[in-house]
Amino acid sequence: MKGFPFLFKFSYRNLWRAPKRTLIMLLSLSLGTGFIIWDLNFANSGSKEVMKDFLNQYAGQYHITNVDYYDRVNKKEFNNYRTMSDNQIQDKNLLEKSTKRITAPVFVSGEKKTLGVLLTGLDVPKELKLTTLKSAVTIGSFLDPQGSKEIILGKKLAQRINISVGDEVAVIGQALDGSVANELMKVVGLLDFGGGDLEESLAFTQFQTAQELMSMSPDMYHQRVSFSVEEENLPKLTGLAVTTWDEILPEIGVSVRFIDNFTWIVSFIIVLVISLGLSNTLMITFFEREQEFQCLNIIGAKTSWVAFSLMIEVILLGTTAIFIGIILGHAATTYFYHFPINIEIFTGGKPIIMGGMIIKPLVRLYPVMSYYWQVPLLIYFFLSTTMIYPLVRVINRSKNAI
Amino acid sequence: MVNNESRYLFKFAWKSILRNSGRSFFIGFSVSLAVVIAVWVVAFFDGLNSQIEKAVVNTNTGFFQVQDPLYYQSTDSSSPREYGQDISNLFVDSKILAKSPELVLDGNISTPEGAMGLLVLGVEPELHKRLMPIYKKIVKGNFLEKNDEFSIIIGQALAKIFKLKVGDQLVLNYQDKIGELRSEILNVKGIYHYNSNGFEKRYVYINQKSWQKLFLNHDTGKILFNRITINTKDLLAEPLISSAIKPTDLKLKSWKNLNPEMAVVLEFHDGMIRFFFIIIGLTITMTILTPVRMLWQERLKELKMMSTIGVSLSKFWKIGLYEVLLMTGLSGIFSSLMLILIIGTQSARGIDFRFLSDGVSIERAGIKLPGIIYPQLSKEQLLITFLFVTLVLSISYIYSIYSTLKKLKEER
Repeated sequence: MKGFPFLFKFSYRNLWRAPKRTLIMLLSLSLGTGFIIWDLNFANSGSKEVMKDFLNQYAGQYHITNVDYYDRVNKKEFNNYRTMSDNQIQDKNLLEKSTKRITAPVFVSGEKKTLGVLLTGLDVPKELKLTTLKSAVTIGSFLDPQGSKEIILGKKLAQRINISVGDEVAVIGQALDGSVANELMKVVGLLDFGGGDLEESLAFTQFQTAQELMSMSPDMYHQRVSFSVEEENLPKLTGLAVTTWDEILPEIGVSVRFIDNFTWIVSFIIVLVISLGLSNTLMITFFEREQEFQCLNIIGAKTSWVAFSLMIEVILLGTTAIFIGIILGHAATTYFYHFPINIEIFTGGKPIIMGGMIIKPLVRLYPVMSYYWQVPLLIYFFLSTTMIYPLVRVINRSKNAI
Repeated sequence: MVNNESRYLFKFAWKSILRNSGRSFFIGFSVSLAVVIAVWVVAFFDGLNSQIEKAVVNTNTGFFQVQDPLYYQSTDSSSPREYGQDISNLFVDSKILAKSPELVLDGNISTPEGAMGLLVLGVEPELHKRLMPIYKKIVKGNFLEKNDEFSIIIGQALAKIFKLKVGDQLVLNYQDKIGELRSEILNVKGIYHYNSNGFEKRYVYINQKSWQKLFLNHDTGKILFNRITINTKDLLAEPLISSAIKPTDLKLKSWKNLNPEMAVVLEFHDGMIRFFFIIIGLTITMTILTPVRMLWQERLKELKMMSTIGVSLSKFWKIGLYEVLLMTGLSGIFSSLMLILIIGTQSARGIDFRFLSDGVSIERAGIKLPGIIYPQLSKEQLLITFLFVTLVLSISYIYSIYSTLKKLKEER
């Protein structure tokens, strides 16, 4: 260890023998590191913001229902005869953080057409507090918390059944007691989901109206939907089921996971390409100094000493580059925290439709601390691999020096 | 014809590359690898996008739909047009693979098993057979015929929910042309198994004669349409169809207008690829810049000597450009061979992505999302490969030659 400070100094000076070359290597590795950190932060924040925007609009983070409400295999299927009540929830804090809903597959009949929709009875004051559904109503108004027998339809559905705000529609379905459920409801607002599927298949009314339509007792409902994003651990409830959005909307979960995996693949590719280039440069740099290594051998320096000095050079270069890269990546992340990115840049300005709804997320980048050690580790791994071949060749050639 | 001097300089450039064959190989390999990865990503997304497009088009959407103005506005089926020879002749072109005049009725089925909205398509069986392979996907019973009376073809998923078999009767509820609520009995003639569960639950087929009797209350004896569903090879046929319908008041919609959610997914993929390409381009340019620069600076003495014996700077540039040409050729050929090998194998076997959904089949916006993706290699991608290699190598070489010759000038 005595000779280490000298070796360190020697390696450091070697790096500055060709400053331009070292700077370019440093720059390419730093920019690569910085970009990967930024990119991973972007992908992570992007997924979270997109999901937040989407889930806060209507779907929610998780649903508390009767155990038999959702089909055990296919959560797209549900049994409307399976209801629940507040009495079944022991933790009363959950009631505060969630909103109750009634779901009713019905037919909405206009002047010329009758179409099937999922009518949802909403606890209006709670929905206004917890969701952003109101902002999707672009024509007319949202449901009146004090009103009844009002209905909100999707724009596309209204267009298809030739209905405008102020008109009345007939709602026909099957009540839970087996009788025919029918009601005349007044259209108060139209939802704009950017032409997505849900514009045709969703309708909303007041909770009490839906309860009466479905002939349900006053304390019963179908779902309690929670929008709590911070919820790390799902509540454990006896006699009730907790179903996450990922299970209800697997297509959205898959799309998000696909993009996340793709980002990691891109990161690996970038590190691989940079490593190949670095390996090439290191090899040229090492061979260029072959005569010098032979001289060092002649005056008594061991091959291991030469190899060790070269390793220090690479580690020094790598560590500096990774350090600068982390700063660059973090600075870019912080910048885009203050100036969020509109991901419509990926679609040429076209609105993004997800799960049948339009979403307009502005991605505010948040740093994920684990990336700040995972990425350097990845780069160190490739850097070490990169160094092996040039180093082995230098050692082999040095053996023949004397 | 290449003159002697150029031939000599070309030979010189080739020998310069071979002088440091290992290093040249490394540079070429780095570029090739980056290009292979970049093009593979493009091929992968092209394959995915093409599978998504195919899945959307096959939900009886077609690449295009020509619609009557009222149907276009509100999907009101009450003013169907006649599909005469004049209309049929508008769509005669080798790019148009199939056309099917269709009448569309929104109905529903309501039984003790539940209730469901249906899209009842009135089709001309022979024309529809050219558009979609439903007739080949009949798992029980038979497909429609022109003169069937009130026969219906339903999806397997719908049959399962409502416990319907071939020969059973289905009560269809709907509003007719004048808005009157009606319930009519239809005989299940066949059950198909095709596309997604959502498709099988929603789409049912009857012939034009039955449709007209149900909705218009009489058979006009003519082929009518609310929409003409058209299949082409791709969306590039849009200007052709657009100009064909120009003299009429018919309206055109592409599948992207009809399924905006999946259209945006494709746009998003394209945006991601562009972003990825820029990043890979920048990375590889920066990465090979140093070795190429070192390669040229190492030859400074040699260039000085050549300059002393009268070789002009323009000739050095020529040598450099020939080197770019040769390296481009070598890297391009290597990349193309790798791509043909990798993508050739994967396009046949596919890449299984079902682990992302725990093996469960996923449906989005009415289509079944592909679980196994088959990358597609096209001529365009190979052309892009060569352009990309040329661009990356040119930037690195031009910068290196420029900085070396600048140094040469200074030292002279």
